[in-house]
Amino acid sequence: MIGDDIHAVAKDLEAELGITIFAMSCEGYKGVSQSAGHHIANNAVFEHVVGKNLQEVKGKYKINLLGEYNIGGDGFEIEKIFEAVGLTLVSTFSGNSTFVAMSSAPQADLNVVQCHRSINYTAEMMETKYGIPWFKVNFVGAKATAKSLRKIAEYYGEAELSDRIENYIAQEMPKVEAALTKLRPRLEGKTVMMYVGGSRAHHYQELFNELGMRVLSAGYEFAHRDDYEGRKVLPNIKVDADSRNIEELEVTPSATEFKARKNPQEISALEAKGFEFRDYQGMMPEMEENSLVIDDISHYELEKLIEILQPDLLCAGIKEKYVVQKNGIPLKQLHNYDIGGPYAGFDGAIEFYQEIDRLVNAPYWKMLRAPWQENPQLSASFVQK
Amino acid sequence: MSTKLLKHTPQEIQPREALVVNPAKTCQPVGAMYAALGIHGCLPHSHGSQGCCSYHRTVLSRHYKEPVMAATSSFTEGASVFGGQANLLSALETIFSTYNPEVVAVHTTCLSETIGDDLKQIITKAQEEGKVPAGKQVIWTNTPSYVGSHVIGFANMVKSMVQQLSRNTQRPNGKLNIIPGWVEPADMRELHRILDSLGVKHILFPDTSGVLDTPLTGSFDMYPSGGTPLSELIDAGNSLGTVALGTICSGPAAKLLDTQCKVPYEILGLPLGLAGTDRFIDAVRKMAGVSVPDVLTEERGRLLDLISDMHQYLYGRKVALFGDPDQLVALTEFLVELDMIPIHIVTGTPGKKFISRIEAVTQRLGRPINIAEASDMLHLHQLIKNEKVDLLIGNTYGKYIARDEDLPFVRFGFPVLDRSGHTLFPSVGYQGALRLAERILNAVLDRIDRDAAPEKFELAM
Repeated sequence: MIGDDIHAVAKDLEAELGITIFAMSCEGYKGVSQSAGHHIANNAVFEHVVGKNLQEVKGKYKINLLGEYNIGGDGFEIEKIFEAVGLTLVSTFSGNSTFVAMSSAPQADLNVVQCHRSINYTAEMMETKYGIPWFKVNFVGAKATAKSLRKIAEYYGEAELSDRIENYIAQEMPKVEAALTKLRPRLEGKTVMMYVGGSRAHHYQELFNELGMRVLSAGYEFAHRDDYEGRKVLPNIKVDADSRNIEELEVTPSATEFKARKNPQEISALEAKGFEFRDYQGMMPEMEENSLVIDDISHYELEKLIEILQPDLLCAGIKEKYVVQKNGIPLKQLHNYDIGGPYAGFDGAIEFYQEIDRLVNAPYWKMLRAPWQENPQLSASFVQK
Repeated sequence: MSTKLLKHTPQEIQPREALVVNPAKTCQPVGAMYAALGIHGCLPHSHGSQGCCSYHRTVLSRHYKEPVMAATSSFTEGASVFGGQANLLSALETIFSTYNPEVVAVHTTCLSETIGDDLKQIITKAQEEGKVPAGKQVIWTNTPSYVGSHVIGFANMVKSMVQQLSRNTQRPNGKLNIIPGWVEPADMRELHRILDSLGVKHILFPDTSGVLDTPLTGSFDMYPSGGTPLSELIDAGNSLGTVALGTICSGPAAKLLDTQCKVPYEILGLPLGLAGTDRFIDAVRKMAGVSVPDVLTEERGRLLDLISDMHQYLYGRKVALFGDPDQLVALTEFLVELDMIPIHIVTGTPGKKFISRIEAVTQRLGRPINIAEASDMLHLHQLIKNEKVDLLIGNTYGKYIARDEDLPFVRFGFPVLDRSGHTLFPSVGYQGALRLAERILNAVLDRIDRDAAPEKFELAM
């Protein structure tokens, strides 16, 4: 507001100190939500970090994991899986990552995108500049994790990797099934509403489906239309004043660093088999008929919906947590996981099943009323005179 | 690999200007919002962008583990360029039609301050245009965060309550005004209990008991039963006197009650510890003309008994503490009463008077100590590296230093994000001092036990 030129200061000091310094103009009033900040940060990191301080990474299957922020240790869980199946993680944007790792990202063969909303910009820009293809993955949910791993295997198309991935899934699934056998009967048919994030309200439906719980309603706080309806709507989205405020970087193929990871024949062969690049179908196609999708829910709407739908569980953040719980309905925070987690991958899924069982079936929800509230009539008794 | 979390803290203290590393304060609107929640049926309103309001609600929710409801003018570029009047007018309409509070307490943000929005003018316009229903009140305060800290925002909102609500209608109510300062709901509850046991009719404001410590009943109430009623805030102008607790948080409101409504006042420190509570009860006794019941004198005696019983474990132990000025002055005095030696005392809130106030309560230590205002957690950490302490007292942000330096740590202040109890059990009064002393003792004794050699591991202590 007062017009400080933090970019000029950063540039001067970068020259003076010889370390990377960059600034981001993140006016709190700019854009409609935190999503604008993601876009601004994507641009800044792409301009000032990616490729800048490249360190060679060795490995046969080198990938970047985009849009994974290591909440509750989810990133550690995915790193563990990648290591076990022989995928080399060049960098994560940006959970448990480092400046050097992120600057080395251009060496990867593939970008996989966990949170589409926050980082699809970087995926797109890296594809244009370096020729790294990207597709959407989801490591939340055991089945979704298996599906994502199989898609990575399909991309590489090498038996060695596919076998390792299949073996890993075969090794992990029995304990997931065992946990479900035990916990699903305790949760099946229970209902949940989710108002959270720009991807999470979608991703977590996987875990609730595995538990047999019904998602009555879901919505994001800072998503765009494509996160609801899929990227197919992108060409038809009208750019409004708010989105026009965020800079779109002009990215062109790098003369020296662009390298197509797959030749056109390989790409068409994969696509002919139904393989999709740059794919995100959004949240809505996977939701049940007659479920509600509500964007950027207000407190009033939340109260009314709770009253009408009486869900068994709600997922949102700290500002909703105590409001909902005062109503006698448990709330699971999906921003910071209530300091729980990890919930990604196979072990994470089991952790989540247990957490939801703990929360939904906790004894205190049945103790809300005192005996004299349950049965207010006075009973008479004889008193000796 | 080092397991230190603050491994980059250099021991050598070099002069710093402009750069703050790990602040020991937060911003004015957080305090204004907390104060406003102490009015019954009040919806705080943040006049600025949405993210500010979101942060204030988040940090208050995390500390109190309670719903914290507040509205925002939700500025975008338009409001930032053309002013936030249209946003605030339409916000007030929506607030009263949808959420129907008794009072809306508006505070500014850095953005609305910088563009120069005039809250008084906008709210007057709202009233003239009939956007404020009859019997409802909208109060406002200015809370630019580049001035002071959260405690100044608290003080500003409390002062605005007096300025815009309290009236002297020439009908003396025979009550005492108590301005408790930034204390916990449990503290406000305890002050009520002390005043009731003294038999003093009183108006306590703001009062977050019953607002930010509500029971789990199965039904959410946006305006819980607690909070100072609007009628009492108005009537505070008819009281026989005001006792303000905390120079910074409560002083300005007490002084305004005097100039505006001719209510005489006495400004005291927070009633933490023995002497602090003595002064509070003595001032109330004299102002209200009551005698102190035995029950309070006995509480005092129990506190003194604990202090004398456990003196050997506290005597001479060095303490570092950080937090907000009103709390630190009172707590430092208590530590000196316990015969402990507070040697590093750091606040993020600017104000030179803090130095002299701490000096006044540490005189009898007879040794130089480090007192810093407008300072930060890095500086505190450096002070500790240069002279070790036996105990650290402060809000949750101290846990990093406590872990790295392996210090016993007592959580006290705002915010406490990682423990419970601070909102439920008082720290003020003799009862509160008992609890504080117990927590300090437990931290010290647990450490003695942990570090004791087998032959020095004692059963009775």
